[in-house]
Amino acid sequence: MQAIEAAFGLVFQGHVLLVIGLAAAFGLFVGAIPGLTATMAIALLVPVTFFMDPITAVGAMISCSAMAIFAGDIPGTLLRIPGTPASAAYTSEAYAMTRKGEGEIALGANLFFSALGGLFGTAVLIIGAPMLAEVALKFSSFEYFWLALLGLTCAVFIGSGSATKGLVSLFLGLLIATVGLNNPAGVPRFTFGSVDLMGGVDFIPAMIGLFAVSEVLRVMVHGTAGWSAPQAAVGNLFTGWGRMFVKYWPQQLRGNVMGTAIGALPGAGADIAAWVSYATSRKFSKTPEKFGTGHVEGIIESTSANNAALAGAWVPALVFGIPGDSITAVVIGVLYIKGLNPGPTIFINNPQMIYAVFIIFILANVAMIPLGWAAIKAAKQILRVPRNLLMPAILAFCIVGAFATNNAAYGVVLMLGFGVLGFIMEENDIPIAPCILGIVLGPMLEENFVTSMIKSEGSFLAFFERPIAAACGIATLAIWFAPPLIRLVRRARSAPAAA
Amino acid sequence: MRVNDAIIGAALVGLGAATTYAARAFPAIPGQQYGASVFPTVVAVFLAGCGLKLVFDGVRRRRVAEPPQPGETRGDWCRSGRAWFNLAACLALVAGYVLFAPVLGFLLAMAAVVTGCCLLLDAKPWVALVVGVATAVVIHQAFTLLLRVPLPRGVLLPF
Repeated sequence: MQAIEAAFGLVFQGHVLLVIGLAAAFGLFVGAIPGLTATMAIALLVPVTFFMDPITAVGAMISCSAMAIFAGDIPGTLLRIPGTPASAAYTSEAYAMTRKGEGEIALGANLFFSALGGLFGTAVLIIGAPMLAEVALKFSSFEYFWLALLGLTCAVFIGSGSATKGLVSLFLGLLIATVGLNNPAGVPRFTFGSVDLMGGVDFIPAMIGLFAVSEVLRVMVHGTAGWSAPQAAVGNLFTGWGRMFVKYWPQQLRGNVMGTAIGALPGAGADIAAWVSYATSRKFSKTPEKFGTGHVEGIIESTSANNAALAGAWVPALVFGIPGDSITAVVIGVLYIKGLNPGPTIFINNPQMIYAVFIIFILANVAMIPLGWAAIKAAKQILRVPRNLLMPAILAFCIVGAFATNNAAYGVVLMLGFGVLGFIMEENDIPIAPCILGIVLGPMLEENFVTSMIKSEGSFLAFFERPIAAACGIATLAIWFAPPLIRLVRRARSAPAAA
Repeated sequence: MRVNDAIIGAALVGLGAATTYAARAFPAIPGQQYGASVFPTVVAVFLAGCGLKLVFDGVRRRRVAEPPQPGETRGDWCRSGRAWFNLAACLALVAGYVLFAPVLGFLLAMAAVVTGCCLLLDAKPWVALVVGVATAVVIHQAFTLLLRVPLPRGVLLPF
């Protein structure tokens, strides 16, 4: 009880609330601009949070990411350009509603069900995380090794696109993670004689480069010609909230559950949750033929899911230190820098911190309704910001952010290198998220692997001797080997039929 | 800059091989079988494996000469000299910032970078200049006064 009181005391301070509010506005803005993702908003925010106390920093990141994921729906609905990848699943549907003159219903549904989804995810986080933490206290290096590997596996196999390219991104990330002195043997690796690289590849400049600078470079190359200002006037957003809630409560609930579950799965986040939920909604709908013609049902389910996933992703992040998506990957990096190492012990040593996270999550999702309303009303102006002036300003932010992490020009150089890498990767359809998860989880994977191998004196069987480790191990191997096996079986079955 | 998968694959195989070679020199933890070289070697081998797969896919796709995928139209900018110029100029501006910020100071160097980038994106010169100076001043004030980051002051030291 004392911890909860302490948590309220930590959150309800003028400067904390002010920062959370500013971060929310920033998140809404970045999320609403097509091409700028929620992860990018976080990457740009991190250098600023550097100078805050832990609660303020974490609060800023929570409110910024929640708002950005919602705001991505705004240009999706008005212009048919998703603001963030998490809105892409239902952009066509929402735009079809706008063309039918139901734009305010679509946006209202996005706002209302985003907030509800976020609150549902938060409830699961509040109930689930402490319970899981008690189990996690018994974990040893074997379990952590498998969990890290499971997270990386999900990041590659659950995302859309080519698994090979996902793996390439992941292994690049893991390779980058090996740079420096930070390894079990404590020897310098791949430092090329540079003192700066001894400390490893700095995570924040790398993030800024991969997620933000790459986008600036893309605009430099492809030009700014893109969208026109939205024409449709938006009416009363609150129309039909009660009716939609009553009529579509099963869809909403399913979206919430699915979103939280996918979010909590290490390595898969809001965008995947939205795609899966949209597909599920269509599959189980009584009127699947209406999908794609401007039908609110699928929008409700998937917009609930992407915001629920955001909170769900914090479960493995807080309990195991394993990011549920690329946003929590950044959060974990920041927590380490703040000396708040995520893991089950944080629930015992720092409960007020955990409760504060819960409170901020609730606050952010409740505040989403008025702030989101304001953002929708201001959408015309936000979308009119000229991109040829915005992108250079973002580049300036990137530079100063990368510099501020260590107060050294080395950060800017690193940022530029990773910007080029991210640009080349995206141009060739190599996803970036697995790379960033690789950079975050690489040290954990290696440490637990080497520790486990030393403990077991080189026996691989030891990785399956403890029950939870065995379950995680089998799950990981199943994800690796199930798709090729299924393909083999299918081929074997179809071969005699063809003959 | 969409290149054939085979080229990326070949580069990855090269990177994997170089990493494996370099990792052989890492000492083991005394008295243990598993040292600093294990993890990079495993990662490098897998990376090279993925590279081989990409080479294989890329060569096969070339032979079949598939029509370009819908997503592949993005590669068009490669033939545009302007696009290459923009890319090179933007990278050069940031590199120039790294080199000259200690001398010129943050304000001048950053204003130059932002103004330059705006011009690359066809902003009107006076707008570019205003945005460049304003961005530099706002960021400078925020980061030095609020966050106390020691941004380089350079030739503007007296101010």
